[in-house]
Amino acid sequence: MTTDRQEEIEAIEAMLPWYAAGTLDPRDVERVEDALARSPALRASLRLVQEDRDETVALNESLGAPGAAAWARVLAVATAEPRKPSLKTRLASLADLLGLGAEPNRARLAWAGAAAAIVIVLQAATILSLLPVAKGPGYQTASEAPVAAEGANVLVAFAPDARLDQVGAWLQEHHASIVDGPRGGLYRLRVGDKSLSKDQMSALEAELAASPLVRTVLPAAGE
Amino acid sequence: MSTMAAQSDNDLIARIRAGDQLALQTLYGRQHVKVFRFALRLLRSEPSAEDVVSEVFIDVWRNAANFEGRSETSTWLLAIARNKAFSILRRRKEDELDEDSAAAIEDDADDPEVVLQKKNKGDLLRACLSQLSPLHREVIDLVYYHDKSIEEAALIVGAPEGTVKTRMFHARKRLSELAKAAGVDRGWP
Repeated sequence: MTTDRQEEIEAIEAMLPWYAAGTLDPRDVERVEDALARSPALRASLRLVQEDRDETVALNESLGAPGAAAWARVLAVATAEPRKPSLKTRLASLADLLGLGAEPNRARLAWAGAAAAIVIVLQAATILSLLPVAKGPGYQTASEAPVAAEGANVLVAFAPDARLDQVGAWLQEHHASIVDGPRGGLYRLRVGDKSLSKDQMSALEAELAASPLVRTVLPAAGE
Repeated sequence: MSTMAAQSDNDLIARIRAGDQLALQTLYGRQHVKVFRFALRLLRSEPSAEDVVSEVFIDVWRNAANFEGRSETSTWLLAIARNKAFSILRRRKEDELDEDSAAAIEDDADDPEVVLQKKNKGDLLRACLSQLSPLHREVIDLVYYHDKSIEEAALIVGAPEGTVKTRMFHARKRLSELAKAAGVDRGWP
């Protein structure tokens, strides 16, 4: 009997740190409290545990934080090894930015989707404003759009995160202009002012595709 | 509270799994200080602890798909940090000691007797806490500072729950012995 009681006291003693921290399994909390009510020695031990805990917290809180370089290393790897987020994930991020709530419910995603659509329309309208002014009257669909007499024509899809100012600079750098689009996410670009051979076109497409702003490059019909 | 802060860490992991850098940054903002302090207490070197922090969150970026959500995210992060910190400790000692031996060695810094001559009991206890072996330091920190349950602490240190309870008991006992050696008899054990 005495041995059993001693074993029970030792078992309770071993649980005191978690009891003091409030992380003990609820099943054991009652057991510990019953034992504490009966044992002055366990109550004295609990006071030491609480003292140890207070000093452990104080010690850790005095240790400061890592420098900015630690995050810079993480960011460098995350940027170098990107993964394409799913549409749902991107809508959830947008919903966060717009303050639409934390839970990924249907209504929240629908609002985010609507907001994304508005952003896309505004972006498309802005890009279309960069199109050359049509000469002469009339209206042409993309499939009917005449290929410019001079210059190389390609179809390009820009990366989803490409910003308008980046695209503008990129077009200027490559002596390119948007002549139509987007259709199916593709813009028709005229590059340079000379017609190119098949090999030159392949080299140009590879060069354009190498940009992180570009998701896809396809030959335009007629090239 | 911002909507990002309202999201659980497990929600953030799900988004990181899908490649969301913003979620990674948010999780880093929440957890990096605690991961750093846990590593620093083990390694006693700020540059090494910073390396551990970077490596932990790089692992999160690369291996978020492996997180099954059965434990708290912070438990997973501390388990990764613990493995990396002990790898560093092992490299420091590998020519002379195995991991368990290295982890059992107490630090000789912050001598409690010297502290006692100058400061109060709290300073003395903190000096004794710093002098514990890494194995004792980590279990004390996990339970008292990181608020880990017996089950979570066992997951982090990779030992059975009974071992964690025994290790905690011996850490407390050693703490009292160090205090007594410095002239403060706490009357326990």
